[in-house]
Amino acid sequence: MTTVAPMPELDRLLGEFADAWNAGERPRVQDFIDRAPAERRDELADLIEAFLAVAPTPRYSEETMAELMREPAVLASVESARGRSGLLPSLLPRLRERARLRRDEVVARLTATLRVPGAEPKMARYLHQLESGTLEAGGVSRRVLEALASILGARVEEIERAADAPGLGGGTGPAPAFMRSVEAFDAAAEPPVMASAPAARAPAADEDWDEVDRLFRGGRGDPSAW
Amino acid sequence: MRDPSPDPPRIPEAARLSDSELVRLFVRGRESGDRQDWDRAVDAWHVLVARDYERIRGLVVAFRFPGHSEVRIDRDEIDSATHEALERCLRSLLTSFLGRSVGELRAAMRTATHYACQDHCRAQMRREQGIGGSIDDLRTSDEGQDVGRFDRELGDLAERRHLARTEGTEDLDEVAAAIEALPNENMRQVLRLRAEGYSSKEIAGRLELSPTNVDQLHSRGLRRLNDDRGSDA
Repeated sequence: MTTVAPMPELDRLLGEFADAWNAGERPRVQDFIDRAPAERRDELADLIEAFLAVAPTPRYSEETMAELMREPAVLASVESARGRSGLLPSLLPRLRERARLRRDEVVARLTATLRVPGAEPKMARYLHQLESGTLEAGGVSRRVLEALASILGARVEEIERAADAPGLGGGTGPAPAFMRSVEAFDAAAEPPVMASAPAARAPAADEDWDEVDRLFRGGRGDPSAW
Repeated sequence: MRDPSPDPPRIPEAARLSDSELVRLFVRGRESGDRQDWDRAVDAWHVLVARDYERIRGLVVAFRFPGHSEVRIDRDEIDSATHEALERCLRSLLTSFLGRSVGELRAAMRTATHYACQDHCRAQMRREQGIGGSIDDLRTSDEGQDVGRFDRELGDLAERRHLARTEGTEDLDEVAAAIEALPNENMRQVLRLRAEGYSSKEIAGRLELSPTNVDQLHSRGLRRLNDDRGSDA
């Protein structure tokens, strides 16, 4: 915090911001910083940061609250908490946006990198499940994580750490309804799946696994996925 | 872009609860392992994170790298950095958060957001370095001035100093105590009433001050709190 003389303009801007905050109007911090004289903007940023640290939860209207609950970053965080895919539901879409790639473009590159031509539909389904938190992240091979890191311009350690992050339910919670229709099994009745238990991921006797299944469900160290 | 959510969020029950009740639900769901508790914990998290979304986004926008105020989150990176901050908050709350109060939760969120912003700036610079040029190259700031990219060693030093500061203020109870220690009664009253959600005009009416005076006492009080935090380090 600087020790320069206080400035009425900054006091007024902070007061205006605090009023708008408390009224639940979602004031934009940047707009207020931009209104301060250039040489005092850092000072106002400090003041707003200090205010936000102690500010009460605003009086949001029901409509505003519904908007906030639909913010993409909020939904991604909830999917991460609810799902089986660690923090991948939050991380992967963000990395994709940063790389300016659509999901189908990632699928195409993933298919080429992993050398499984013609597997785009299945690859797309698995990627969707990872981003939706419905695929158990412990089953995803390191080869897939490395390919994703390379395609999305991230470090593989970052993706691995997100995949290994625990969810609130540790993988024991119910899967969303759409997974049951895609996967044709009742996840709610399924016993807990432990990320470190390869046997729990092994295919059922009547289940026909191919290389893509092994890549996404065979586990981090599954040699058959290489 | 993310796919739109197919269902409206299940908010009616949890949205009526106070922040304290939501924190209790979240902690219980995380610790009990019971499926119903877990469902409620996720709902509680949804409401909590929605209520705090603007606070976290605001902290991202206001972020200045410790000791290098010219290093901040680029405007077109705000959404991405906010996303990272929420990830970091969740990871922290699932793995290392031991608190049980709203104050502790909010302090943990602020700390997680601060670290996420630091990481974002470092990652941004790594990418820029990958593109070419030196970390000491000049760039043009928002104010049109040429400023130097920060020196790694100085940045680390400043970060350690800031860490020492933030680790010492993990609970908002300490902020409340700091407010009580302020020498000016009107300043204390303004900060307390602001924290309870009152507007400048309402506070002015209660304390028989002008709104301008209230704003002045508010910003001076926040400056004092920040200065005290700095001198405690």
